[in-house]
Amino acid sequence: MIFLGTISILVGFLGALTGLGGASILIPVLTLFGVPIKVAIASSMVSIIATSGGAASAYIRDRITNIKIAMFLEIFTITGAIIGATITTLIAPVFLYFFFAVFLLTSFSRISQFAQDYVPTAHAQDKISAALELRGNYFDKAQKQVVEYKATNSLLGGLGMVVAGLAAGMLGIGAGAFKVTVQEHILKLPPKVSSTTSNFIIGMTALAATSVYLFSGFLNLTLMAPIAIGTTVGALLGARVLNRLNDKTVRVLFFIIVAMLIVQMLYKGITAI
Amino acid sequence: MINLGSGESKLETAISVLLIAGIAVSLSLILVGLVFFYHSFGNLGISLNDSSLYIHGQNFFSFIYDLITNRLAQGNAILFISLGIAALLLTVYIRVILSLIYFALKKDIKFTVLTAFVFVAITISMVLH
Repeated sequence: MIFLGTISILVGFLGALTGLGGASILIPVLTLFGVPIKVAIASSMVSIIATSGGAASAYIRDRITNIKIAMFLEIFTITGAIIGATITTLIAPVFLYFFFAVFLLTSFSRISQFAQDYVPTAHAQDKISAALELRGNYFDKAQKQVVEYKATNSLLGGLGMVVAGLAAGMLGIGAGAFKVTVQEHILKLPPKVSSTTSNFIIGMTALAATSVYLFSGFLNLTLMAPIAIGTTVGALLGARVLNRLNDKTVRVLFFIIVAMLIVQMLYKGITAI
Repeated sequence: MINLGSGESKLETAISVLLIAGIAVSLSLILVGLVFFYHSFGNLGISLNDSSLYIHGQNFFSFIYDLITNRLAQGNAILFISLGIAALLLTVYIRVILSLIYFALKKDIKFTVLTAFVFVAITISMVLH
């Protein structure tokens, strides 16, 4: 457990630096050490609640997270997560390696989002977004001004969130990069609101999936304990270092880590056939 | 003064405090569990083959009930680690209940319905599985 705890600190640290989140890195690492993929997925799911919750608390306090938008989107992510986790308990493990590798590929969409400043667009709100008052504002410390925003395309965004929840529940990850992409490009939310609101939603998505895994018998207490503590400590350390790194370093780190994880999962999948 | 965020500052403050407190309690319980584990077994080894170290065949509420009725008296490592995991899950669950109460008291019908949907869906999943 000490070894796993140390690995989890490193993984949580790298997950926070790259924006991938700890579980996306941890699950391939656990399978490398011989942990069955379904046990790795289920046990990592619990740690997501701890790592995302700590960061979410700070972002809410800073009034960047939009909890109304989050609660609307949670309807869709928990539906996806429950279906996704149920699929994982039923299908052959070999498929999960390939699904994981494919989903990691979608993380590359985040590369284009690094160092991107939000430019407000003059889009009109759809009827649902307007009726639910899915809008808000936050104080941007970099721009030193209050940024106003409003959501649109809420149903299409909700559909994207079902897919995000499905992947999260199925693969035991937060699917943060995918959620951020949906919120930025479909709902037209600022990057900072997208990433903090996504972080807030991740906890609820993880709870929905864990409710399925509780029954399935894949939750191992000796794995969950060091993972939960390690990834949370690592994520806190990573958040402190993140602002000191330049975007190029973060991009290179991100690319290397995702590429290695994809190769690892494809290798495990092919050798498991 | 501008009301930042989604305009629900009281709820935001309450959720922020709940999350950080819940996670602190949860990780502390897990840490105590690990100390007990080392004290009982003389090592901190991971066991993938011991079925007693897995949570299985229980929905969320029977898991909590089992902790209170059967494992509480044992006071061992597994109890504290399980309590830590339960506290983590409960933190998120209480967050939904807190939001539901807030919107209901505020008579915000739309968000009371939306939050109630999340609450009912998550509760059904916790009961059925």
